[in-house]
Amino acid sequence: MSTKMERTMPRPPLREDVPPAELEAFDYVYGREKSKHRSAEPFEMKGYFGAMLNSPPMAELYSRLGSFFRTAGEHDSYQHWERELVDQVISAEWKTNAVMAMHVRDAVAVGMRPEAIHAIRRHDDSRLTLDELQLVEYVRDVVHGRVSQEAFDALVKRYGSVRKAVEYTGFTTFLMMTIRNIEALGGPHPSDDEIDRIIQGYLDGTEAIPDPRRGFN
Amino acid sequence: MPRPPQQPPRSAFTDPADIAAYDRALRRYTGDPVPEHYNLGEYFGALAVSPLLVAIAGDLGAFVRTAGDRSNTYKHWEREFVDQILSKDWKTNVVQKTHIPDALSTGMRMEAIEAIRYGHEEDLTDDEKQLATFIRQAVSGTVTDESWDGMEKRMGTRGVVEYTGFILWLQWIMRMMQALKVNDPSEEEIDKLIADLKADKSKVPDYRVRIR
Repeated sequence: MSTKMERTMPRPPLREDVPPAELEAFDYVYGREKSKHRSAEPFEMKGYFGAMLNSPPMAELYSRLGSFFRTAGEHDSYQHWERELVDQVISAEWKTNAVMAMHVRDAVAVGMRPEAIHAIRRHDDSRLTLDELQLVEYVRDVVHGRVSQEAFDALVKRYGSVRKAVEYTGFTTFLMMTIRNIEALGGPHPSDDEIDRIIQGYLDGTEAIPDPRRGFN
Repeated sequence: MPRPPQQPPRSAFTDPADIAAYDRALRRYTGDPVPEHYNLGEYFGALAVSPLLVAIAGDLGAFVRTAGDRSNTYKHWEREFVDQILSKDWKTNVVQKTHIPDALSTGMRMEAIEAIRYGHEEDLTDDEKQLATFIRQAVSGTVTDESWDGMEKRMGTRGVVEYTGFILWLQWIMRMMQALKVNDPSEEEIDKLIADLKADKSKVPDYRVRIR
């Protein structure tokens, strides 16, 4: 489900038009986005962070926060597949494909089961493992502002750490923010058919598993 | 595990990056030298279990709160308007004890606060109704071209990018507060706060004291 839009995302300002006091922030975001560029095409600053660069300081803070959450799996926090599960749950809960084209691939790359992606998308919890189901239910609770003491305690127990539970909750709310921001800014909204085809490719084994190092920086 | 999680002392951390981030979060309130302990309050204190997270959250908070000091973005009262809409729609008072007084201090009309809270938004001005519509669209993923264009005309491209960013940052804050179970005052407490502020306008604090 997506709102029909004619507009495209705002373009970033030219570097020479950025106030000197904001150039460091502009360059940080530009550099980080360029470092994530995966295509053989020359890098062009556009898309979500291109739009956000209309405010270099805000773009920088969002980028640093995103970097913190995406690299948590490299440190002593939640695992990458647990992070990617959040993308799947929020997308299904909100019936949006704003981040799905990238994050179905990223999810599979870091070890999330294609069957779980498929099940979450169809709200079929019976096909989830108990391990997956705990996170799926927790993420839904965060989205709807109804986290119970029992659910929070169970997350702390899972991670053996309040810190990791808070960071996982923080990532969930961060992704809520990101998805809604992409939608508001006029980002791409792939069709359900397009996303279903990607998932089907992993389910039937015709799609190669991507490089697990995608998108951690 | 108690909610909200309790603020850990600096001595709970050994990683230099954690300690530096913890001090950065405290420095915002204390300046230098950073004391061994400073109570960040229940919300930021809970976030402090993850020092880098609380440090970045503090930086972002300062940015969005002070944006209204510039002329090329949203105004302070337009920021406070977001707190009122999300509080009403999500049936929560987690930010209201602070943000009803702040809203008045920034120039938001008491009549508008009451119209939103008590469900008679026909009393909002057209100017306020535009914001209410856009805020609701932003948090529900339904921003229309017409609405975006109207907001862009109102506050410029940078302004609407920052306003949208703020709306969604407040979504982050409020959903975190709910998940971590910070104090959520009763409806009666907030009603009394409104009555007190109406009876005695001198109780409205200067929002500028709090935004940095």
